[in-house]
Amino acid sequence: MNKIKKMVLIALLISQALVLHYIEGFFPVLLPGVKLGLANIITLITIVLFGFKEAIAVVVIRSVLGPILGGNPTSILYSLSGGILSSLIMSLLYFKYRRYFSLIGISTAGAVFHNIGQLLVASWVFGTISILYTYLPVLMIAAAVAGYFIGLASHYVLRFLNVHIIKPSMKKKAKKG
Amino acid sequence: MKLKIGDILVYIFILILIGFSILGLQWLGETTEDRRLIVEVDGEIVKSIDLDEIELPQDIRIEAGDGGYNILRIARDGAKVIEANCPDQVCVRSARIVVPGQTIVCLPHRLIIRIEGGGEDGGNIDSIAS
Repeated sequence: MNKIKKMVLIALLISQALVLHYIEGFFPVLLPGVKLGLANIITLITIVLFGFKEAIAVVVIRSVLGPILGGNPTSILYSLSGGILSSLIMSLLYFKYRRYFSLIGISTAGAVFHNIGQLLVASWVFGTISILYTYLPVLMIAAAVAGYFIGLASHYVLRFLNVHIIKPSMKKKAKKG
Repeated sequence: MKLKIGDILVYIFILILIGFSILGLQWLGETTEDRRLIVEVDGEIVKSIDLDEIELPQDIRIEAGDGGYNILRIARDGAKVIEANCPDQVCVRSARIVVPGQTIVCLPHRLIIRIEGGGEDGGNIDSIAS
């Protein structure tokens, strides 16, 4: 894959992540802090298709631009900390322990560490560790449910990409060569 | 899509985390018990009383300098100023303070009475919810 094509694809992934982040804002909030994390689909896809460095780039740009577009720049710190920690963990699991984990497990672990990262920053900002204890149980249950469905969604998106985009383009190349 | 062994480990990890945080919550619930009454004059703490150690309601007199005084009635569940010789009597008319974070202020005597405690964040629910 040449440089320009890669850049365009990553730009597309970032814009998709931003759109998903924006759409998520329309969903009713069940509890403070509980979110579906649709943009996590994009992070996972980027890890699988490109790799760790590209995923971090997508996450950082999305975490900075998302809150600015959403009109809440103060949450940049939270979304950045959660996003970076979760993509670190997901890359680690995907590249080192892929044999033992399906995408569901990887995305659930990502959701868990996304929440942990955010809570750590929140308790640092407010100067108290009690936030961690009070929010963790609710957020962990939410992460388990959301992570499962996000993993499933990423699995189907990747399968679609594989069947309709990646394999045909490889065949084309083989014919040419 | 089939779940693999690691996925089950992730869910077990989540259960363990939930267990630990519930333990933490209970530990936190115990610490919210100790509420302290803090009396400050001119920015210096002159009295710090553990409200849970008070057996019977009692009156204490706080000297605020320049002959000024305030008399506090403190009980296990709160405190109130019952008498003062300040000109505006705002502190006497202030409501009883009960919950951590509440204060009574007497500006002429530069006196602040407040309840502290209820966890590390001072028990201020709104500081998290906002």
